[in-house]
Amino acid sequence: MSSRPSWIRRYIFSTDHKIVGLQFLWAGLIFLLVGGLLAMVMRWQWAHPGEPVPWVGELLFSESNGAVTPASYTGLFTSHGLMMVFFAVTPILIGAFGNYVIPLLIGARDMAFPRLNMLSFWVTLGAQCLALASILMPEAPSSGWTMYAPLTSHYDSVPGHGQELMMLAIFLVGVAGIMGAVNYITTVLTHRAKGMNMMRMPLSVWGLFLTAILNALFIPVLAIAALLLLLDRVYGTHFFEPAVGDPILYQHLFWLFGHPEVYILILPVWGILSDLFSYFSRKPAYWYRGSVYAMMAICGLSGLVYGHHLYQTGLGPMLGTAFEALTLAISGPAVVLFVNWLCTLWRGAIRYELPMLFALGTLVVFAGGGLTGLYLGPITADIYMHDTLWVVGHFHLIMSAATLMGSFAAIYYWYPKMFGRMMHERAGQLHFAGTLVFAILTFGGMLVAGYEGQGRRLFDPFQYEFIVHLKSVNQYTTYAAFGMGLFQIIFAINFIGSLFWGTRAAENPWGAPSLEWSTSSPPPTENFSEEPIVCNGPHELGNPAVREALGKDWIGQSEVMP
Amino acid sequence: MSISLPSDVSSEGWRIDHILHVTHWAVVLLSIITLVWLGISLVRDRKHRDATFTHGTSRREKAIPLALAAFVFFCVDGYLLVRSHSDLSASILRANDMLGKEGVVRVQIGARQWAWDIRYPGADDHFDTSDDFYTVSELVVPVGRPVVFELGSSDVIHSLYLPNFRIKQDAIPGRVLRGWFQAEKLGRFDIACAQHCGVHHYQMGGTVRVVSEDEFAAWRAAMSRDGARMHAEDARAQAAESGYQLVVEDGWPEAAPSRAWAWPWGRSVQSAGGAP
Repeated sequence: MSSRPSWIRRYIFSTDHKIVGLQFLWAGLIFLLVGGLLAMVMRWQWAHPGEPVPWVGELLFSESNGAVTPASYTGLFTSHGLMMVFFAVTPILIGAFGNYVIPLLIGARDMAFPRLNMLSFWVTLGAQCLALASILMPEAPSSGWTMYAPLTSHYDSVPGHGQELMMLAIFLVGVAGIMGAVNYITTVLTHRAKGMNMMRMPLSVWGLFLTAILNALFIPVLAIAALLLLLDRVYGTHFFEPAVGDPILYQHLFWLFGHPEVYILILPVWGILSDLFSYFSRKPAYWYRGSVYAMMAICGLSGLVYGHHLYQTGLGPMLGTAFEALTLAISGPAVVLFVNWLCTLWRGAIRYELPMLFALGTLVVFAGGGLTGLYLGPITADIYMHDTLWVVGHFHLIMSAATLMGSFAAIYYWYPKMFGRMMHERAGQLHFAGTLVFAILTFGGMLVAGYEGQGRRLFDPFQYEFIVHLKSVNQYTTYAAFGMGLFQIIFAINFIGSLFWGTRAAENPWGAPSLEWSTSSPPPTENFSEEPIVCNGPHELGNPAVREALGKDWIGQSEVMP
Repeated sequence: MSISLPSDVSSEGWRIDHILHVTHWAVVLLSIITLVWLGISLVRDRKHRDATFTHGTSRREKAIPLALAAFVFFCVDGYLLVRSHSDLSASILRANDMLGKEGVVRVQIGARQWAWDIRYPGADDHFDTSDDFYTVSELVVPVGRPVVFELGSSDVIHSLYLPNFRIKQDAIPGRVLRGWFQAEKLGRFDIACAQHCGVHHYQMGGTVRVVSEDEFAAWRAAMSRDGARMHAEDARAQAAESGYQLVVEDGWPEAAPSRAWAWPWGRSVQSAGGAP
């Protein structure tokens, strides 16, 4: 290259997938903080309804002497859900890791469409700013994250303009998501290094690749649903109005996206876990192809099960039963994937380093999330469980506990690659223990309250006689949530402090065979000094032949056996 | 403290409790398998210096995940599917059949922000006659008789939630859905709304009052006599008494609040979960 690009081109408007990935990571982490704080205020209301919120109450709710009001409460749960799903977890898992990791792991110099990639980030950032603006409006969005019609289409039910800003933000983040998805799919299909056939890709790439496919298929559905709803609300069209349109049509569209969204968020985690279990038990991933096919099967099913969110809307019995059967069927491939993990660990040489601790924690909370879902699959059980805190606890175990602990595993794992330094071990262990224990207590508390019948989204649940006795459960749950929040401070300090004071990372600190560790940390602009030629699978660990020849228990993907 | 479902006071709630309890057993079993398996690995295998090398691709090795998946799929999922399907077709979706039963009580429940308008057919057992009468957010039913409700909404989507009767049914504007239950115990039980329906969603409560058959007959006769005179004033008074802050608008229920599509009846009726 004749001239060095300017600082701004290199670090702000960069087309380098690594910079874009880090931008996504920072943006996502900031919104994780926003979403988390919203959750804390909401939890306070359940522990001490009507009492002034300590510290921030006077600032946020000055008109009510610092107490949450019913109107601000609806704003809290709506904003919390939307912030977390679209503006925190999605940018971290898909934006950050997808970008940072995919080209490095498949031996590419960059994404297939670097400019589109950069645009995807800036559109996401714009959407995040809009979302933030929407919750700072005098009337924040208050429709619930699902934004059901006709509640959302009418200003007398959902007042103010915060709602429109948020819907626009969702539309934009959808557009950015499609850009990212197209890019990831093309990159994986066309930019793999020589010798890197599909069945040699690390499972992290498989997870991100399948996520991208789901994104490309289903985000357009969400974008259209949000657009039609916006038209109903702002211009008085009648897509989802009773009599002329259909409010249930909106639910079909929303959940046709909404259910795959769960898999969109969890698939990258599954892929990353599959790799980490192999690397940190020094064993090949058990039945690699089985895991790939299981993830594919779940992707296929993910679009066919959304009807279980509509069981109580009067679905016809045949349709209901079909959705029920397909929903329950997901447990088949999910068990294959899960058992493959257990078998990977079995008789391994397990190393409890930070990424492994978080990966194991993810495995536990994910199992909890999966098993609590069994109660929601059958139509009859769902009659009672639907819209209770059981549902909230269940999906938080997966969409919060598992995705976040999975993200932490990935952050601790790739941090040395991203910044060339290690994160602090003791601080990380403390962060792990606190997060795991308090996550289980928090979401477990929700499950208990939900099993006893407590409905979700209630400003003051304790007006109901059947819920009054659950006040102490709600209080413990709240304190557990506060505990979980406090432990994230350790992470924030560790994450930022290690940038400056972390010990320098060794060339391949984890002894992992995948390609990203065959280049420097952080990698140069075009990743590899020369294009790697892949001659091994991603999990060649513990092979006795390798040990004999090389004197170590692994062989890199581009390393040639002597 | 023990964790338990709210007391079941219905004739059919046991079906739901049963499937939940079976799921408990399945979950306990699967949890034990997972935890023991994981626990052994985590404790025993941390001492290993070298792992046992395998890609897990032999026939025997593949059989382990496949066998467990098959077990969960056929035994756990299979049971849940068959059981829930038979409960639905044997009882829960049988609202239409219940209409033909001796002594069935019919009510129409109109949900709106933020109350339940409940219409009884009066002593003649026909709707749209002069002895129809209304209550607000208080559902009075006789013990031991099937109650068939038709549920609609005049504004947004609500969800009728009777925790002690294991009933939850969305109330959807533009549709009328039918469901049924039968109370087996006297007493007062909560009605709640399960679907976020606006800022006062949390206050959209009410009461199911289960009374003896004689008491119900007397109550119905009295209400029926006064039916024509029962209008918004009484509803407001009743609402104040029930302790929930309701917004009862004038002209109710003929011109229901704010929206054009009003009192949801006069449309085709589906049974909850569709017509069996």
